[in-house]
Amino acid sequence: MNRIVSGLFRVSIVLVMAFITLPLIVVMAASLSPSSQVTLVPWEWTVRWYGDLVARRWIDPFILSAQIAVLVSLISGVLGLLAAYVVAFEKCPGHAAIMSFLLSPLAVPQIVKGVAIVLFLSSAGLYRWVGTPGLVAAHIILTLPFAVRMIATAMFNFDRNLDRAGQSLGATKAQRIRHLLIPIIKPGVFSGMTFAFIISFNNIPLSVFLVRPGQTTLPITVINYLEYSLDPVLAAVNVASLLFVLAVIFVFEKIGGFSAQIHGGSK
Amino acid sequence: MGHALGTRSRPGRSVVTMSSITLATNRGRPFRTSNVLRQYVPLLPPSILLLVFFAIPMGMMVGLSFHPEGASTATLANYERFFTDDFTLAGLGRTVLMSGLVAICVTVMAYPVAYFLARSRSRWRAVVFALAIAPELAGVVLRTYGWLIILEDQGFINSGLMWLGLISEPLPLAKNMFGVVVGLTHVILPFGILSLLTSLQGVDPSLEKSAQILGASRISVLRHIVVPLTVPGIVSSMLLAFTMSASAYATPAILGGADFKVLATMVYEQVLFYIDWSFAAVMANVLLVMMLIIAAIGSRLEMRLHKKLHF
Amino acid sequence: MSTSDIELINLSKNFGASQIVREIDLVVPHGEFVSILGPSGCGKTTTLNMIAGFIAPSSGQIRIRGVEQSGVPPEKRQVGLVFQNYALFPHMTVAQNVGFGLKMQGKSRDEVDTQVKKALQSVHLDGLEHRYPKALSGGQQQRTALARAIAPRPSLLLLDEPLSNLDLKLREAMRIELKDVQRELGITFVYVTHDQEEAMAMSDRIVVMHEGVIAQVGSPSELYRAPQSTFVADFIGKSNIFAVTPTANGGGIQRVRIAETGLELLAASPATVSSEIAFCSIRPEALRWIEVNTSTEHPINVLPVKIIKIVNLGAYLEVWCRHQSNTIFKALISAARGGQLAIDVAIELTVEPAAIKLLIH
Repeated sequence: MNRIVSGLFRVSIVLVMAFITLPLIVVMAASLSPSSQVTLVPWEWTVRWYGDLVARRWIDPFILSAQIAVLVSLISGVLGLLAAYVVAFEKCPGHAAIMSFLLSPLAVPQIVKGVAIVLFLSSAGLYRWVGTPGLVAAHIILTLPFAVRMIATAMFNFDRNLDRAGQSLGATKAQRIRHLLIPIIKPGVFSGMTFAFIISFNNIPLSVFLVRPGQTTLPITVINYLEYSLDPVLAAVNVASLLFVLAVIFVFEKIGGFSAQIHGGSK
Repeated sequence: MGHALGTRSRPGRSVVTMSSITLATNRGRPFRTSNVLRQYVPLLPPSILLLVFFAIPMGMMVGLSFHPEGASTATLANYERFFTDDFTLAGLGRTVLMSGLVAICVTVMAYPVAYFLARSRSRWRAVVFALAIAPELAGVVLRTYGWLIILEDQGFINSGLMWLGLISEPLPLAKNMFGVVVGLTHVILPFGILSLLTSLQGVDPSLEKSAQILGASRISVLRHIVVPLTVPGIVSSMLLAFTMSASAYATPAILGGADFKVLATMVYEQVLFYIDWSFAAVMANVLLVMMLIIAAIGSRLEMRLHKKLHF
Repeated sequence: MSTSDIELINLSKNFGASQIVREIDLVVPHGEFVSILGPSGCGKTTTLNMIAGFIAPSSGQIRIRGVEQSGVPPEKRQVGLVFQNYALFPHMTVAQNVGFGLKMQGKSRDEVDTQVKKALQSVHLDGLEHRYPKALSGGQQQRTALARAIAPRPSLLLLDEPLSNLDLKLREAMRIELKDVQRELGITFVYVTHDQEEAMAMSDRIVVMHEGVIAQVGSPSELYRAPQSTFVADFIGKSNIFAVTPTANGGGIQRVRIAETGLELLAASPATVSSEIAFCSIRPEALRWIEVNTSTEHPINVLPVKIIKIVNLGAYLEVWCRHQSNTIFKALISAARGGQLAIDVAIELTVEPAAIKLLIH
């Protein structure tokens, strides 16, 4: 009896894993298939669709998305750091209430945030902000709570005794922030920034309201195409943008992750 | 020891030498009044941003929903319209049905994986964990596109089954509720796994061991120990999946086809095609209120279940 | 130049309604190794934190090297501090950790390097300069923390239970090393601990704290020989403590009756007013076992008892004995002598009147 149960358990995990990976494999295969008919036979594969990616209709949206994601990631990191410092490190009076204010956008669905922002820009006579400025602002509203939460967690976990040790060794507040707090919470800041980058780069529900015709982000360009075509080049676009995201994560990890020093051996 | 004192002693400081804005409190520690306010200064940039691009727009949107075009005073007319129109009501019903189905599918599929991740010490654990989380990096478009290739009429499954001669007509797998539920389950599954994993990690493995020693089979251990102890996790995973589905836009838009209307896609159409902002605001508010109610129910339920299980 | 490094004058700390530290007075001369000893919650760590400047006193004064410290932030007090969990900076090497204080003072790189080397030598850590804290053993982390605290050459070092995270063997070795470092540098150590053995082993003076007040101050042997209260008698070493009532006094002898059992003991007359006596304390080793009654003189305080329990402590046996009055004594008998002792064996114990300490509280 127990054997059957363990067997079923294993089968169910394999099935769920297959379910999770199937669409990714299919897109990968589609991007390499010679026609819109997807083939899983490797010797029939071709990389010609990737050659089509250099066309301006794909490059321009990619550059726009990447620019927005970089800006959103940097601004989220800086603003998140400022907010988390006051709320999680200084623990100023009222920090719990301020924290809930900073996290409040999480309670609102993206599509609702998107409507609210576009209605606000239109009613307030700021319609010219629709496009890059509006996209950046809207994405930050979405990513800032995540950044604040991740950086705040890093600050909560920061051992107060390290700060006290710095103090007893004569370090001023500015010196302690620079030499102790910032280096130690750096992984938290960078994971917040990486998260912000990914969310912004892949975003649809907010961007859909804020793109200008002829100036759209990459995901919006793709779904606009999807409505009338299953062109294999779309698969190539998707795979390429996934690879780009992975590369960015790798770079962020190289810059921000110093976990080996703290947790690892003698360098 | 004399030199140590000599090199290190500095003139002492006392309260008297502090500037005039210094107040000596009854605790003997002086503080500057301006410091109290100064510590809030770093909050200004993020707060202003949230105020301008979140709080004010949300307020305006709520206000706008009570002011249909042409109306000079606040009115509930648009809400009345929403709750009497068959089209919008069908959309609301479809949203709830879709989200409910996704909540069930996600939780049922996530539970065994989360249990494996919480208990296994095999080297496959890392692989399963990476595979479970990795799709999150890919973004919704790629995954939805993948499902479209798999499910559509000339897609992977249908052409395969036809080639095998099992069917003559393609099965309706995409551009309907089925396709959307599959797609959304795929998008939300990683969150379900993580949420249940946290809950399962909170269950002491020694409880299972002691039940086994007392003679319980694997199935009874699951039924009488593990599942009852993770009811709060199951509830929160279902609520999470429900809210995420109800507010999802891209997956229903792509996998549902033109006739598949849920609140999120209806809001978008109102803004960009019908340009009826007030009615769009009404729909958005209905969606928002639904989310808030579920969140409130969820947190109360979780608290009660938690109290019951953890003394 | 003032010769006292620390003066605590009428120092108190309240958190809300609870008084953690109550009107403490203490003077610590330069170069002394003083321990603040007490059970958890006695206010010892709060006192240390007030000296370091992390907690502001509710009332009273702290003077360091003769200078009143109220309003002086910790970073300006020039007081070294060693933490219980070491608080080593995880992103810095041993050398960077130890050099941190000097770097913050703006010392030149050369000077930092020499001082770091010196500090590491004095704690026997040379060669590990480039390791990160996570790659060090517990004892090495402890030494790094000590080196970091002494590198800026403070005249005063505060230590907050620095050995409590080490295993027993290492802890005992570090006691000796800490004392050596202190003697070599000639600086003042204020050492907070709940471990009386640790305090006894290292201190010139021990301050016993109990419920926010100083119970007694004295050298380790003073505290052991002449505890002034049942708390000190019980906390420092082991003791048989009984509630007693004084009965008669004469000829340098004070008679007392153990309240619960009625057994009478003869103690040396105390200096205090005899009517105030409420307790007596007898160290286990002061209870002698009369193996064979050879002496012709009749010793006083002869206690015929029956053994009810024997706890083997290695070199010694802790023998629990019941007197016919139902009074229970714990006596310490060397294992070499007590080989034939067993439960239910009847023996005789005796105690010198001078070894019975009469206490008021």
